[in-house]
Amino acid sequence: MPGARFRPGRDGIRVTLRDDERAGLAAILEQFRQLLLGGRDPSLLRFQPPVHIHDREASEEFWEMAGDSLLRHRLEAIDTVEAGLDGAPLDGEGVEAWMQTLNSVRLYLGNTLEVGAATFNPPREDDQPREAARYVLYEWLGGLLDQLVTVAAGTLPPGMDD
Amino acid sequence: MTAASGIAVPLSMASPVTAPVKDPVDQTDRRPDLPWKVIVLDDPVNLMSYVTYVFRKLFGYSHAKAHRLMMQVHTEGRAVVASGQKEKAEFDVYRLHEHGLWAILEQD
Repeated sequence: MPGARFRPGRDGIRVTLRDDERAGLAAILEQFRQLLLGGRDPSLLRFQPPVHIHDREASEEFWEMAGDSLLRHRLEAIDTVEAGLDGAPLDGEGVEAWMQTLNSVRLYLGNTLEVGAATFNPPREDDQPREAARYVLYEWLGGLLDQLVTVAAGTLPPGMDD
Repeated sequence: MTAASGIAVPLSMASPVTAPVKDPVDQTDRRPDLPWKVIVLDDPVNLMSYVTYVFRKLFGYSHAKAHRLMMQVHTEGRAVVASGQKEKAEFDVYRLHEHGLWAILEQD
């Protein structure tokens, strides 16, 4: 779990990443952008799963209508995060972009690492160094996202029960 | 933090695996006059705190209700988070997918 990287401020949520974290995240975002634009990685299927479980045609129709828009939205969110890496306070739109992007990269990693599989064990540095590094990244992104959620949740209205 | 500073960490693998997309059972009998349910399916990756936040943000639910729905997704594999006319339900599904949650549509 990283130290506090998101703090509430008068002008929005402040991001305080270390220099190495900022550089690392920028590199990761660029890789993720290229993955999305390439569109060929099978793990990207998680981003457009069936929405009508037993009606493939209706699902395909949905994604034909929504797929490009959602891809554009993800790419714009990456742009927003990159623009905010210098520590400018996040407004509502910035918070959403950071959350969705951190979660998207984590979702991608989680699927390629098969985190949900019954047989899953965290990869070990000694025999799977590449996967182990990706798992550390997955965990780090989860820590960041959880911090941001905690801070942002404090700004939401009480909401309704029914 | 080691991973973020290790810029060389590749996101993708040389031989990417297929995403473990589950195929839940659906008993939908679609009829145009019935409302549509927006259902969120369990996902082993999404954080519980994040899912709760998304329900609050998108649907204006209280923390208690959002947390209850999140726990239902987690323990039962699915939860109905909204319902209504098809266009509105499709929009909700789209917004949930924007946030990385797996949402589906079913008719009552």
